[in-house]
Amino acid sequence: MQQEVVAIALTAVDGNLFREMKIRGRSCLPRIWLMKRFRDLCIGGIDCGGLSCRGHQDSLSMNEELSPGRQDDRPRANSIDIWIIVTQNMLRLNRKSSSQHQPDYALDRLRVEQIVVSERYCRDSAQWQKLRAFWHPDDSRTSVKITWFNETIEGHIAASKDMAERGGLVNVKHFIHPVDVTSSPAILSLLYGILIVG
Amino acid sequence: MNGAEYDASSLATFLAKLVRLDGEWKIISLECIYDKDNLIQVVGGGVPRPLDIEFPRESYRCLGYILKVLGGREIGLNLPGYDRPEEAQTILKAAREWVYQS
Repeated sequence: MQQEVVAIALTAVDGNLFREMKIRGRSCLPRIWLMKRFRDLCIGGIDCGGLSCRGHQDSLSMNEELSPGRQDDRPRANSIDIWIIVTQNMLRLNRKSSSQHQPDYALDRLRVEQIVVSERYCRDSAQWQKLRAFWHPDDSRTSVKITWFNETIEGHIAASKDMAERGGLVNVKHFIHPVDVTSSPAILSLLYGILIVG
Repeated sequence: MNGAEYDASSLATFLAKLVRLDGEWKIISLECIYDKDNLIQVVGGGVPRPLDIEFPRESYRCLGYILKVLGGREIGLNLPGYDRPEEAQTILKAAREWVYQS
């Protein structure tokens, strides 16, 4: 029978207030999973390398709340075997590394991967208005440089539409595999492999 | 084409640049670094005959040929391609610098 694993963390927040954080899992789960889960729930982007994590067979009770600042008189129980503490120094480390915006980066990465995949799919399936919506509304700021075309997006759509209506190269499929995203808060470049089949 | 049917495939790296506009990412540019391509005659696609392709760029040789024959378009001979590795790396480096310097 699997023993439930509960990780409880004390995290320092503003004003030196300590608070209790709980993570539930199963003992078969790798410790790194709990570390990751902890990071996602409590820290949101801190480098886990700064966290301490150790076994605690006689660790905390689940049911008793810790009072602010009383991390030393924590109650004990046998049901907990992972104990994670975030110290004030680690929180400072978190603030230092907050410029990485890791949760935002992950979400943005999903978004932009979806954008570039959908954009080429719209081209392959002749959904021109939908394709246009993925691009900057100011046509003069856009640029498409591919084998047969080097102009703005609206010119590209017009030329693609004309080519499709004339029956030339209509059976093209783009298969996209995003490989690298370089970003700052406001701009981003996405480098991806592509297999074009026609 | 050439009395037979073919499947064409092209491997390339696409480079997309996006900006955040009112909270949404919008593409502002799309460019391509070509890698390699191929033409394969399909099953039942006619009697096999040698396909004579003369195109000076290895990275997009078949694409260039197809676009000319089927699309009626003259394709530039100086497009980015991994057959010119230094040019390709310059483009990739410039893209990263664009992010960091903007």
